[in-house]
Parts: sequence; structure tokens; C-alpha cells
Amino acid sequence: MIDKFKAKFVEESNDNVHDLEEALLLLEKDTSNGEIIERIFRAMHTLKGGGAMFGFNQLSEFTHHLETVFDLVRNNKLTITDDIISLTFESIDHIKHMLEVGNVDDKEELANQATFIQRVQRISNSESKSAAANQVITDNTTVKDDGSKTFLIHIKPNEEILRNGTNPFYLLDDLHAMGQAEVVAFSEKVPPLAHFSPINNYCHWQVVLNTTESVNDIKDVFIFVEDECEITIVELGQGNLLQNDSIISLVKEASTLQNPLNKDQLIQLATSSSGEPKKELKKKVQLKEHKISSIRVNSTKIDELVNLVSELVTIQAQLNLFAENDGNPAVLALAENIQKLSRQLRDNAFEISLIPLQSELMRFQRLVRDLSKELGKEIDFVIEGGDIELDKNIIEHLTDPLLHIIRNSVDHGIEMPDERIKGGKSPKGTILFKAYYSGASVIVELTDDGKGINPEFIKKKAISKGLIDAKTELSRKEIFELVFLSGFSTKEEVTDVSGRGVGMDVVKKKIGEIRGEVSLDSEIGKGTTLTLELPMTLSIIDGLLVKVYQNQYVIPIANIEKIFALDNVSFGTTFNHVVNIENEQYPFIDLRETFETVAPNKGTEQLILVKYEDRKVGLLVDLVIGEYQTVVKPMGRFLKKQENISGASIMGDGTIAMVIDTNRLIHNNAIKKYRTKK
Amino acid sequence: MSSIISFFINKEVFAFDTLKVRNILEFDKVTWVPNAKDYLLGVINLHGNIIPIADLRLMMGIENIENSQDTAIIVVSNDDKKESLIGLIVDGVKEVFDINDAELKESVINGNTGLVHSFTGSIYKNDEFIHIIDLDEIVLEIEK
Repeated sequence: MIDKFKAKFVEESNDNVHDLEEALLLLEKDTSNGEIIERIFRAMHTLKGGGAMFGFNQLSEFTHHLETVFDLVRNNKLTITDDIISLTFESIDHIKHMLEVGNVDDKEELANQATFIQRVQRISNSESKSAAANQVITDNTTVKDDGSKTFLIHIKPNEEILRNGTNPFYLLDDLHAMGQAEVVAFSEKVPPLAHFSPINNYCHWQVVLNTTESVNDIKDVFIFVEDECEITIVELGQGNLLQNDSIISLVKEASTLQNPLNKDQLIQLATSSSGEPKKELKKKVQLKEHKISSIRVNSTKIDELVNLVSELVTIQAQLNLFAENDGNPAVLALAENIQKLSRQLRDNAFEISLIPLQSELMRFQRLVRDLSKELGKEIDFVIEGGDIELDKNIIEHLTDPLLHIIRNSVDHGIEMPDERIKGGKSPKGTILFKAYYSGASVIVELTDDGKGINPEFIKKKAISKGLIDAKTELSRKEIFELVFLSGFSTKEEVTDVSGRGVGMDVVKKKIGEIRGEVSLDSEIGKGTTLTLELPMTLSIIDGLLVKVYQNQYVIPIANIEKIFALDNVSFGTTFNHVVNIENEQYPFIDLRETFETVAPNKGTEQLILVKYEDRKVGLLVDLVIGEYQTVVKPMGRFLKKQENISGASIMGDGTIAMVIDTNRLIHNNAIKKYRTKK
Repeated sequence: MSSIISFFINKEVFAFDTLKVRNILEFDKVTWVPNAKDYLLGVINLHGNIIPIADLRLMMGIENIENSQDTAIIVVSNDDKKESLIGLIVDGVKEVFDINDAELKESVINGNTGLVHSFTGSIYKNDEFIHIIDLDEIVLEIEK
């Protein structure tokens, strides 16, 4: 049981750590933003509390020291420096590690942690001393200053506050415990006895409190009731104003007249007596009840939902078929209604499994930051279109390729600052991540403004590696395509950052696994752009149902350009698999031949023109049956080698149609022919 | 103590560990998949999942294959994952029974068993030998 809670804690803490990292990245750009500092502090506080509760004591202790630093920061006793940010980043990594392994007994690890804590403490100690020194200088003008401050606190609980067991008096007791306090109770809202409900609260309170604690400590008193109370805390001034007689009499008067205390009046009295102008520290803090706008669901549950919906769509197609054959109008009407519903359900379920890219990008921002520091480069990572949503399975598959591409940009693309200045560029490089929708796909572009790649260099390299023949004429696009061949790498030396510089072939393969395409373009001195074209979802496609020999196949409509009906006469004159249509020549692939079926066709055939990179290639099929929206199912691990087929789809009558991966099919065919020619 | 499921291949009796078996189906139409190995006959639709079908008889080097009423598909999985389900065609399913591990003898097989070489052992029961086939090897072979 406790393990279950622990697992939950780790999961939630990872979210907190994630939030912490994000906030820290923001803080780096805007070091004085109080809201961000507060966010960081909160995240640390939650980690600390949760850690102690679930037995992650070392984590809790460690976070405590870190929290101390940020407590000083938020109370303006410490200013954010690069050192603090870097140390905090390191600390976050350490926290992640601790979340993974739990408490450790290993001596080395313990010693490690101890030194870490010391480093953190050094920051909080040294800086607080100097800040304290500052404090003394600024404060010694106040005569009766004893380090304490006086606050006016207004507590306005909801009527319902008593119902969940909160006793407002305990809050007042807590305040009394912090120092000297005067409480004024207001009971003007108490109704006549006939309308009085004993479970409702009708009172509100004002407290004038003198304490040495900070505003945040006062706020902590209300931490469990902040959703049920309206709390206002105003600083009236330094020192103990409750020693001021005029203020005491004002408080007494407020109590008898049921007339709320006015902060301006109090501050005026306070200043007139001490002669010190007092500033209002905190604006009115209003804590509103918050509504839960999202819930956390295990991703396997979503997978399950999508699977079930996919099956429902299949069965629904069967029902439609049955209803049409049956001809009973009542059944037909029902089937139609179910079709409408299941279509909505399907759209909904698929929408749920989409997540914004932003969630993944955070890690890359961190990566760019760390790597560029390590290499002594200055790099900005700019994100456009981070709110674009993709299937979570696609995003999962995207991490490795993106990691590789970005590492390459940081390591090889962007130059050192002095080199950039020489080239007339700003010393700070930029990596732009841009995502946008294009039809049924999502385009992701990664552009760096680095030194770019020389096509001639790629060509020479490919020749020296024996990948192409020296005489081969290649277009610019084809040259850049060479980068994705396996065994090709533009950087000779092995670096820590991008391993062996190899791996663009791996990127292409990984992107291919999620039915995506990748291409590269570069201009010398200007930079390099990698473009990824990704499908929005993996499991459903619009397809064209065709027949080849005895089998049915689905060709994704997104790839189809045109369909032609051809009689065999026009093929009589074909040479080397090129066909003449509307005065254009197109290469074509006879699917019967490629699929090695028996008996070549002799009747009418249909040619489907599909897009392949920037060309068009014909696919010869027996018959086009029609358009069909279909759920693509995996073929299992035993047919993974079958590259021409990307999956299978179950038709309304329970039979199977295989989904053709046209890009792979054409690619493999081209290669096969090239080889046989040799 | 474990349980096995025995079946015929060309009148000889073989068996699988029952724990690896997920389904037994009648042999029906199989959707042919292009460019696959000879013994991979194609795929079937089992409750909305696509299951590849391999002919165990072909794998074991049987030449004159005849399908009859008894021909069956045994759906197995060696690691309990959906994607590793595979149907194997046999000449007929015989029975399920418990065995004592002590009864298990080393397999001595006379003759050609094609691509299947590895057996976990044999059992002598009712005047005949039942050879228990090692599923891991079959899976490796198909995946190759």
C-alpha cells in the first residue's frame, strides 16, 4: 500500500521538479521576478514536505537547504546570481537522482550529498550575513526598532468554513503565538436567531500583530484555509505599534463600534508617532478558490481507451454492413445514429491522446543551456508553436531524434563567439524550433544560424566513403540527402557532446518508424535547417482501398496525387517501367510484380500516382474500390521486417486489408533496381 | 508439475507448454502477406488484433501437407506481450494433461525436423513419445 503512495509521490514530484526546472529557466532571464521566485519556493516546499511524509528523508533534508536559499531570495535578502542558478540546476539533477533511488546508504553517495549541502549552505550563510549587515545600516535610523514589524491582518472566512472542521480561533491562537496581537471581532453579519444556523460562520476578524516573523510566515498560518478565507495582510510599519496609545484606542473603538480598522488611518497614526514614512509592503493578497481544470490519468488507460474505440469503430462498420443488407429501416436508422456517436467518440478519444510539444521541449531548453555553457558558446533556444499537439506515442518517439539534431546544432552548427563576430554575426547563436500544422501532418523545423554545411564537402566525403560514384551528378537536394545514409558523418573527431557525429541515419530511421520524413537544407555561413514532417496520429488514416490479385490494400490518401484508369494497350509500349500519361512520363511499380503474386493481370488496370519526395511515382493495381477511413493496427513483431506494409486494417466484414507504406515501397524498389543494374 | 498441450504433425505427437498457449482456433482463411517467408502464410483477425500465422508443418520440413477438418491454429506467446502473439498451424490438437517433471526424458528424435531443433524433453505416454517443442527457438527463427 505504502509503495503505491510512494510511487504516486515520485510521479508527482517529477512534475514538481519539471515545474522547478521550467521556472528556473525563466528566472535566469528575469532574475528579479518575484512571481517566479515564489513558484520555485513553492515547488521546493512541496518536495520537502512530501519527501518527509513518504520517507524520502534525505531528499527532504537536501531540499530544505535549497529552500532556505530561496527563502532568503524571496525576502530580498539575497539576489539571484549565476552561481545560484547553476547550483540550483545541479541540485535539481541531484533531486531527480534521489527520487529515482530513494534513500541511500552508500558512503560515497552520502559524502557526496554532504558536500553538496555544504555548497548550498555556503550560499545561504555568506549572503545572509552581508544582507544582514545591510539591514542594520538601513534600519538604524528607526529609533524604537527591535527588528519586529506590525501588520494589519483581515481574516474573512466563508460561511461554510466550520463545516470541514476548521476552527478560526486556532488561527487567531497561532497569530498570538507569533508575537503581540490585538484582535477585533466583527459580528454584524450574525442574523436574528430564527435564521441562525449553528453550522455557519458569520464572523470576521481584524488582527493587529506585532511580530519578528516575515509576511510569508504569517501567510503560512493560513495555508490550509486559503481556499476558504479571504486573507489580507498589510504591513503597518517597523517596530511595535501596539505600544502606541493612539493605535490601541483606535483598535478598542473599532471593537465597540464594529467599525473596521482602516490601514491608512493606522499607518498615519504610526508615522506621526515615529516620524518614519512607511511603505506598504504587500498588496492585497486575495486567495480565491480554485477549480480543478484537469485530471491526471495513467497513460496506459488512454491507450486502452483508444484501443477500445478503435474496436468499436470496426464493429460499427460491421453493423452498418449488416443494416444495409438487412434493409430494415429501423435498424438502418439505429446504425446511422451509432455511427454518428462512434465517430464523435473516436475524435474525442484521439484528441485526449494528443499532448502539446511544449511538454517535451523544456528538456531541450535545459540541454541547450547546459551544453552551450560547457562548450563556451552562447546560444538562445527559441520555440515557436510549442502548443502544437501530437499523439503522445509520436512525441515519445521524437525525443531521441530531436536530442540528436539539437546536439549536432550546438556542437557543430553554432560557432564559438569570437568566430561568429569575425563572420559578422552576433556572438549569440540561435536555435529556432518551429512547429506548425500542414494538412494532416505537423511540420517541425529546427534552424540554427551557425556555419552551415558545404554541399561540396558532403559530396567529397560521400565519394571518399564509397557511398556514391565520383561521376554521379547530384542535385543540391540529393546531396543533402546523402547525410542520412548510414556510415556518413561530417565531423571526424569524437566529441563528448554528439558521440561520434554519426547518427543522421538513425534520426531518419527513427522518424521513419513513426511514418515521418526528414530533410536537410543548409547555406554556408547562414545556418542549417532540418525539417521533420510528422503524422498527427499513428492509429487512424484516410485511405484508398484497392485490390491487387486476391488481396485488399489501403494506400494513405495523403500521399495520393491522381488516379488513372489504363487499358493494357498503353502498357504495351511501356519501356523500363515508365508510362506516358498526359504527355508526362512517370516511373511506375507494378504491385503484382513487387508483391510476387501469381499470374500478371491482363484486363483493365488502374494507376495511382503517389507523391514520393519531390517526384511522382505510379502504383499499378487491379482495381480501386473506394475511399475508406481506417484504424491502422500493428502487424506484430514477426512481420516488422515487412517494410512495404506499415500495418493492417480490419474491414467491416472482419477481413483484413494491409496498409501500404508508399514511401518505403518506392524507396526499396528504387534501391533494388539500382543494385540489379550494377 | 506442469501442463502441456499435445498435437499432431504428420502423425507424430508434439507438445507445447500450456502456459504459453493463448488460443486454439479452427484453420480458416488466412490473409496472405506479400514478400514474407514461405512458412509465414499471412495474418488473421483475432478479436480485432492482427495475428501472423506460421505453418509449423512447413517449418518442420513436412512436404505433402493436407488440410482437413482437424487442422488447427494454436495461438502462442512466449513473453505475454500482444505484439508477440503468433498462430502456428498443426494437423490437429490432441489433449491437455499434467506431467511430472520427473517423467521428462531427453528427446531422441529420429529424422528430419526442419527448422525446429530444440526440445525441452519428451514424455512416454500411452505407448507413444510426446516431444515438447521449445517455443523460444521457434520465435527466434520466425523473427530472423
